[in-house]
Amino acid sequence: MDRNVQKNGLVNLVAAVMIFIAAFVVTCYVNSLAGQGGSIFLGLGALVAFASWFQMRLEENERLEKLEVEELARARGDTSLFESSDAEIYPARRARAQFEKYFVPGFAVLLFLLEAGGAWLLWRWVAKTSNAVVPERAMASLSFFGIFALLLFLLGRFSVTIARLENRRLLRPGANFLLGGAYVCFVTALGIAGVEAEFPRADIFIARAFCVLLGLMAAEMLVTLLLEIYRPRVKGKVVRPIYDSRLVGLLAQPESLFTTAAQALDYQFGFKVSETWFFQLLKKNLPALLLAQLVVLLLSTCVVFVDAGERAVREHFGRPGAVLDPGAHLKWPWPVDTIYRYRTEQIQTFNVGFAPDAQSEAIRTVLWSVGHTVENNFLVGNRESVTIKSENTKTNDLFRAPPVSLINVSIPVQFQITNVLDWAYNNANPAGLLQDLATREVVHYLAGVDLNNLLSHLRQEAAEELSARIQADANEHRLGAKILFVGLLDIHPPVKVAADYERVVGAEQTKLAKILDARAEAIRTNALAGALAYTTTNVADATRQRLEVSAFARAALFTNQIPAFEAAPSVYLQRAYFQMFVDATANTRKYVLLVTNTQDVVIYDLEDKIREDLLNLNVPNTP
Amino acid sequence: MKRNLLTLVVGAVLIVIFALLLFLFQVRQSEVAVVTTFGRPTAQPYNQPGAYFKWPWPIQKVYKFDRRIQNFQDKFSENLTADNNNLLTSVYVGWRISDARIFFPKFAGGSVVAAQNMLESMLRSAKSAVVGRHPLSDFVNANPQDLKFDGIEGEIEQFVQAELATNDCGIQLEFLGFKQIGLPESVTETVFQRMTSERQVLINSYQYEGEAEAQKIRAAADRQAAETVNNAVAAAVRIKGEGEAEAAKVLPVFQRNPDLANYLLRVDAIKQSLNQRTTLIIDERMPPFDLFQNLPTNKPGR
Amino acid sequence: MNHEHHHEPDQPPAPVTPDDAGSQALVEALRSSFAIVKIAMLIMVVAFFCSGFFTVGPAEKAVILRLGKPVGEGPRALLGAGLHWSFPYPIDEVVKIPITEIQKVTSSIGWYATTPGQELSGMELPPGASLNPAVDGYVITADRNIVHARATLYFHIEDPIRYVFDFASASNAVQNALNNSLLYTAARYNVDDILTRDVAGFRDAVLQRTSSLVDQEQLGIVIDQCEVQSIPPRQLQNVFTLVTAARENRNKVLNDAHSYENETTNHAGAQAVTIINEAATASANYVTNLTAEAERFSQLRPQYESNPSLFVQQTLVQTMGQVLTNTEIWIEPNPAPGKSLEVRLMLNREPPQPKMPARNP
Repeated sequence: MDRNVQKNGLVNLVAAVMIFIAAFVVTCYVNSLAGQGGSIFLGLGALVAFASWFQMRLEENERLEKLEVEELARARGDTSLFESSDAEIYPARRARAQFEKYFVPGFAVLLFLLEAGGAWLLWRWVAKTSNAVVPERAMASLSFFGIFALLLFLLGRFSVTIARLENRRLLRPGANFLLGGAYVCFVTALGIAGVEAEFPRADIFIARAFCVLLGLMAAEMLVTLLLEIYRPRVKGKVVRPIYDSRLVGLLAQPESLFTTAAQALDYQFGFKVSETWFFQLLKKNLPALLLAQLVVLLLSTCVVFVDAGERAVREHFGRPGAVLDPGAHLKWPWPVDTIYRYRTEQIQTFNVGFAPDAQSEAIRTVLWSVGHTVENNFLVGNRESVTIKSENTKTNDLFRAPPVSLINVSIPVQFQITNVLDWAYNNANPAGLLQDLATREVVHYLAGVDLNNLLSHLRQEAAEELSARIQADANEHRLGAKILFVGLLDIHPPVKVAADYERVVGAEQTKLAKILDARAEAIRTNALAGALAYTTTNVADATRQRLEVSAFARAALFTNQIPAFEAAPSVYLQRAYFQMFVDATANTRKYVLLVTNTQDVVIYDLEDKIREDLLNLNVPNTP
Repeated sequence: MKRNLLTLVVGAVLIVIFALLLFLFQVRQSEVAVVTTFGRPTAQPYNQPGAYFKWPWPIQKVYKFDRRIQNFQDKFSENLTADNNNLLTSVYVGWRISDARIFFPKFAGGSVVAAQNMLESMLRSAKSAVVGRHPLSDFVNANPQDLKFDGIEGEIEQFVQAELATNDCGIQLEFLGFKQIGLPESVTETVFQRMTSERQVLINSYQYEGEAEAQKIRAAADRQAAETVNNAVAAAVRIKGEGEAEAAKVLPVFQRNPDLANYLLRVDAIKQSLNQRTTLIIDERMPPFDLFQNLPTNKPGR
Repeated sequence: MNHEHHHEPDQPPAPVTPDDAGSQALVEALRSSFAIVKIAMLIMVVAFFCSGFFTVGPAEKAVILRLGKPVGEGPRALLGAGLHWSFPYPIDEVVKIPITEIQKVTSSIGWYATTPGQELSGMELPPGASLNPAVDGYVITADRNIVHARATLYFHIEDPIRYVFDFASASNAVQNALNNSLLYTAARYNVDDILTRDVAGFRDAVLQRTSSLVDQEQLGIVIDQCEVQSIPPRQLQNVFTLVTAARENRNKVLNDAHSYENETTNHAGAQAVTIINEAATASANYVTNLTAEAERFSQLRPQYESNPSLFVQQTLVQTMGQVLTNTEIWIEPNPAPGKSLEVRLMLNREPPQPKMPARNP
């Protein structure tokens, strides 16, 4: 029997390994994503089968050893038959014990890593790749997977039954994995079939399901490892191999759900939980409970809470019916009535002409010369402010360049949904349509308006006009929306041109600056000239006054001198003459020649003895 | 038993607290609350502060809003005035939620940020519209009658109030005013040039007009001085004339014997003029030196 | 014993003790940690109730919000300085409001980009060629000039309930009102008035507008004082200084001119007086001399008329005698008869006098 079990285990192992390799080859051949997941599963199964087979051999060795020891002891007649716990006498037992103590947990950890890693890698790869199943090879791979499934099913079922009947706990892991592998192969085949049958997402869906399965297995392995530390070690209980996954067992034998649960609880807590009344009750009524839960779930879809600011449309078998106000409402359960919610009172916004991003929203200063969002240029009319005389009057009017300019606009439009039915059912994409309508109206309006007027004083009218037009369009298309507000935030020429707008203002300032410079010069010139004129006038005035006054005085003097003269004419004259003579000669050098008896020779030496300029040298007074 | 009682009491207290949390809510002095029953807002918003009773979720849910006056300012943005001047303006407002029940559904979950975004759009739109209607001289003007600062603020406020009322957002503006006014960077550079020239005009007027003034003062002073001296000289001459007039009274005496008078004059003149620095060369024949003619001398007799 | 037997059924059955040491240790640990948790809970409850005590400082008032509503109406809601107790949160909430303490708010627009640290240390960034509106602030004056202005407002809270509970951020509202006043007042005044001529008037106008705005918005504060500081843009600092220098220079120049005027006038006046005095003196002397001469003439005339030639000789000799005392005399001897004498005179020029150096004024 034991030999059979071992042989069984070996057969399991070989089968698992071979089918794993085969499945992997077929997967690559047909390019199936689900097959990848399945291959991982089968590979894990192969590993588990190997480990359990090895453990079986160790146990077998231990058992044989024990028998030998018994034989030996009986032959020797020793009383202390079974007491010896000298571990060195029983190498096989020690080997097994060590195997169980060290290798098994390590192997469990390895399994956990493989499962987790496999799940994660597969998930990532499924998300990234766009490989599809190769259609021509689909039929062949289908048949292969079918054969695998069949083989694994037979083998697995056989082993599982043996394991259960003879309570071979070590056979169970491999058997469970085989049986699980059978289901996995079958599901993979279903995936390929689904792709063949025009459901291309089936493969990916199943691959993701496998990822989830692997992830669950990894989680279960982790939990088992952790709980293994806390499990009370009751003497006499047989230790269940850690790598014996209950999940896979469940997968393999779904009908034993409850027994598995009961066994797990018993095993974990160390006493018979499954004997409690609650558990028994649950076990008896589980289907009923499940059904009750489903019914409650379904009934919960009968009550609808519509929040404030929303309206909901109730569709009866797909046909739109009533519009529900905020509050609680009753309706038929799910397939009969469905609810679609729309935010009606909430003010919704979209932007025409610019797309705001977080970075530009954070800037606090908006300048024309600094671009802050992706700029869209709109055409706008422009009455020419600069007229150019054209010499060639024979030019055809059609070829004359029309006056246009470019501007950038930031126009947010705020609207509310007023009629939910219209909004929801008249157009496939009402929000997009409204945005397009608004853009169209903006372009239309801007093309017909003058740039300078728009930049300065037409804004309010422009906003109202646009609002009216967009509303008219929305009504025409029966959108059921009400335009609340159209704002003309930033209407400015493109960034490249903005600098020149600013330069206009700057030029005016420069002009004023030049005028002021000239005025400063004028002040200087005028002031100095005025002063000069005044000075000259004053000097002339003084001269005039001097002449006047002195003339008058001399006249007065002369008038007084006349009577004096007439009183004693000769005396007066002589007196005046001698007075003057004395004054003049008082300080001069006088030589009086009174000789009468000589011949006079007078020699005048008129040489300049000293140079004039030396005499007039200004010697500074230095102490 | 005692241990059980204690745990029982503690448990009871915990349950009471839990129940209070579930069934009671507070409205602070600065808040207003809206309660929705199954999603539908109840009739009255809770304006008055205090504690109120409600059913726990999911039957009733409380949304609280700050009913104080919020401060908000829009971005410092550039617009064109009516006379083509680029002007940057920023406006601050004080707004508050006037009716929470209307406000709450209009902005997702009563989000103040969404309300402020809408307010920013309205503010900037109103601001650019109003700024475009006024020339720069309405913003800055020395004449108080021409300065329409308050008027412009009032226009913007009216604009936004009208929009808010039309759309019935549950928001109310309390006050609005200009926070900052500026010019684009390139324009400030040229304004600096103009300001420099203005200052230069002032400098020149001080400097040169001062100099001119000084020169004029000096010229006037010089003239004044010259006039004074001239007047004095003229007066001196007149005084001399008066002396002559006086002399005319005395002079007739001399006329009784003019020869004597002249002789005397000559004599006086010689006395005075030959008083100094004179060299006389006389011969012996002149009296009194003719006395020397016949002096006994060492000379052999003639 | 009996009572022991009584007690025994009361005791709950002993739990299954697994013979695993690890589990036993775990149970012990759990029991002791539960005890600690119980003690901690007790401490928390006591602390919770004691957290109701609070003190109110001398420059503060406090409002207790019981379940959200202020306790008491109007001024009675305000608690003065001292120790008070209230229910702990969440029943009561204490809001402290600084009431007499002078608050300070500074305008946030109108000054160039700088930090207080930089300003104090004097190491500010050098000014560029223009002012970037994103970082630099300034105000525009009535004559379209640019100046930097900064206002500081000192106020205290008058109506604390309104200040704290009606405004989300009342100090921001005050600051914005101050900003607006600065803008508005600068837009009405000319640059010279703001900077030099009417600084006090500018400040008063800012204060007035801020007051009216604060009253209009009912902020619940009372303004104590307002300070305004304004400078021309740093790029133009030296030009503005030149204006002041020019004005002062002009005053100095004018003063110099006036002093020259005074000096010249005085000098001329003195000169005039001298001239006139000299003339008067000369004239008087002339008359006096003439009168004296006339006297002498009258006296001498009879002498002369009696014997003219004798008189002449006499007087001549007298005169010669006087004259010869001060003169150099060279007497020529008579030549031998029949021979003529030749006199040769060599006359030099008078040595020229050096010019007197001009008197420096």
